[in-house]
Amino acid sequence: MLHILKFVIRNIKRRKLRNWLTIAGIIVGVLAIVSLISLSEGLKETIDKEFDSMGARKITITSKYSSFLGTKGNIGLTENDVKTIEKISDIDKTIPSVSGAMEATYNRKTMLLSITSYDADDFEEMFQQNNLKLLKGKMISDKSTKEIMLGFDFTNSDKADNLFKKSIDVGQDIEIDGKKYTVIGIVAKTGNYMTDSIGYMSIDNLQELTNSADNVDIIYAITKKGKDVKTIGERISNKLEKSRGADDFKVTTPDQASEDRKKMLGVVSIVVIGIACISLLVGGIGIANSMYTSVLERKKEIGVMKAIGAKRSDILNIFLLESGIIGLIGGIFGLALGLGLAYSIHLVAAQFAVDISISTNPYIFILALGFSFILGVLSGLMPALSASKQEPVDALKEE
Amino acid sequence: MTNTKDNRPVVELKDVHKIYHMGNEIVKAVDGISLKIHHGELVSIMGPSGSGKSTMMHIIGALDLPTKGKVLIDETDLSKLSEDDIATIRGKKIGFIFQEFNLIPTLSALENVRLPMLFQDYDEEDLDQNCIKLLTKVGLKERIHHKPTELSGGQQQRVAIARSLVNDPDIILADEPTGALDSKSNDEIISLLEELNRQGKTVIIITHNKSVADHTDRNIILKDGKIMSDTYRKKQ
Repeated sequence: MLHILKFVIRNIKRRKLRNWLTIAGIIVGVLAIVSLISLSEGLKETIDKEFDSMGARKITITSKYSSFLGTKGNIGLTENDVKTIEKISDIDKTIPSVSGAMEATYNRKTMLLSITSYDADDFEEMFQQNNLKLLKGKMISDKSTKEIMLGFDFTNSDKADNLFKKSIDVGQDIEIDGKKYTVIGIVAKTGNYMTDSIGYMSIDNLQELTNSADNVDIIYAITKKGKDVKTIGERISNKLEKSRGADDFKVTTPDQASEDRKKMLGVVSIVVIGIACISLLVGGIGIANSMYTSVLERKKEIGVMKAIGAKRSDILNIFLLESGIIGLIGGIFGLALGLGLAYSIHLVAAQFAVDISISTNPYIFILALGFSFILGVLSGLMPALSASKQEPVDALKEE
Repeated sequence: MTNTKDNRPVVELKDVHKIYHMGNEIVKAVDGISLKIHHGELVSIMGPSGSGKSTMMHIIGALDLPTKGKVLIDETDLSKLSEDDIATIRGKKIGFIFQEFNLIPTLSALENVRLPMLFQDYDEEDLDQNCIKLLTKVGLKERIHHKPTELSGGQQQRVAIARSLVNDPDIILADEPTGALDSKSNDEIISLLEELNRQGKTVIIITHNKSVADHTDRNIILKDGKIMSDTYRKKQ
């Protein structure tokens, strides 16, 4: 068997240029498939992770008209809506949240600081759910003390230049809308510049700062364990519509969000993998073509091998192994280049603060290599069969 | 004289016909030949081109089957065998030597000699030693790693002889073995074949060269697909 393999590899080397051209066809196809699968699997993994970290039981309720700067008038959500939702059975708890952008001053520099706020009691839970951790200091735990936690970028001397021109540490004070707030905690780095450059304070403090004591931007409703999140979401819709007298809000259940993205991803993957398959098909035709030529060129050799005792199956195996190895070589290079391409895309995306993770799941390796070998064997099947069927006398007569 | 060990025929043709259709024409390449070649014989088959000697060689070598009649190799009737079994018979019982040597250009002398064993079950360890021994026997010990293109015609034919011997076959079937060689190489190859015959191999040489035939014990002359003469004689 080892000798057959050596013999076959010798034959492949004999037609280097032609075989490399053939292999190039396979490389392109495998490269496309590997990079796409790696990226889409990576995205799927990210979505799944997000799905877990956000909490599979968390329903998000927002006003249809809510704006980033907070809602005015009575079109936004209110504390009253929080109470309505709390009363629904199967709701474990509700977490109201208000966001706002306030003028903050430190080091004599003023900037617009985005602030997210929860009830003082809810910080632990929300941080856990959003995969946030404290780097240093402590968590907000009192609703009326003038305390603030800041994102990682405020202490990061590289990035702080873009914010207050000077990094801030725990214990220092900053001024927000003319009021003095003490920095009591720094949130660990998330890698996302949005979350790394915001502040957190208690909902009461922010409502006071925005002069909207009753206003709520987002209500998170956490369902009890083992309950159908979608059904509860519908119940929230019904109750709120009744109590508010209008359908002016949006209820989002977590599975909807990630399912939608998965569906999108699925469609995109199918289209692009379809294109990659066409290029693989062309690559396979390339192998078949090259092998046919090879069989014609080596007709006499086939005759000699048959004369010295080669059976049909021996000839068949030699040629199939040859086309299989051509496919496999294409697979190896395609795999390496495909992962390289996926990694480059990941790096480029990171430059733009977009997190495109890649999957290096071993099944991609096995799939790519196994698939390209089988593609090679299948493409070589017809030529190999024609080689094995040659009559030794006819083959020997060939000059 | 040859050292005839026993009287059983290693090759037997019984009323063999081979008919080709060339368009509307029917060509009787072999026209009713019956023949026995016994173990240890050194036979030459001669005839002008078109006499059917190539077809005879293909039929004796189990490369082709007759249209009519029976071919027995070592008393086995080929017509009763499958294609694979016939391939096995070629591999085990017959060693081929061709006019154009027919070595595989990508393989070294040693690898060419080893090639037939690729298609047989064999003992891996002894194989290379055995191949080197055979190449030494044909005087190519120093050139076992040379490719065919690095060897002269006579040397290539000697590699081919070593290859034909690797399976230790009963029959050596040589088709114009010196047809592409100069006279010095011609003599070397003929001596080698004679030597093999002395060691007990049945050697069949297809040739149109009278001087080659003169080295054999038995000379069969074909014409128009029939045996014209079949004579035993002493070698010169």
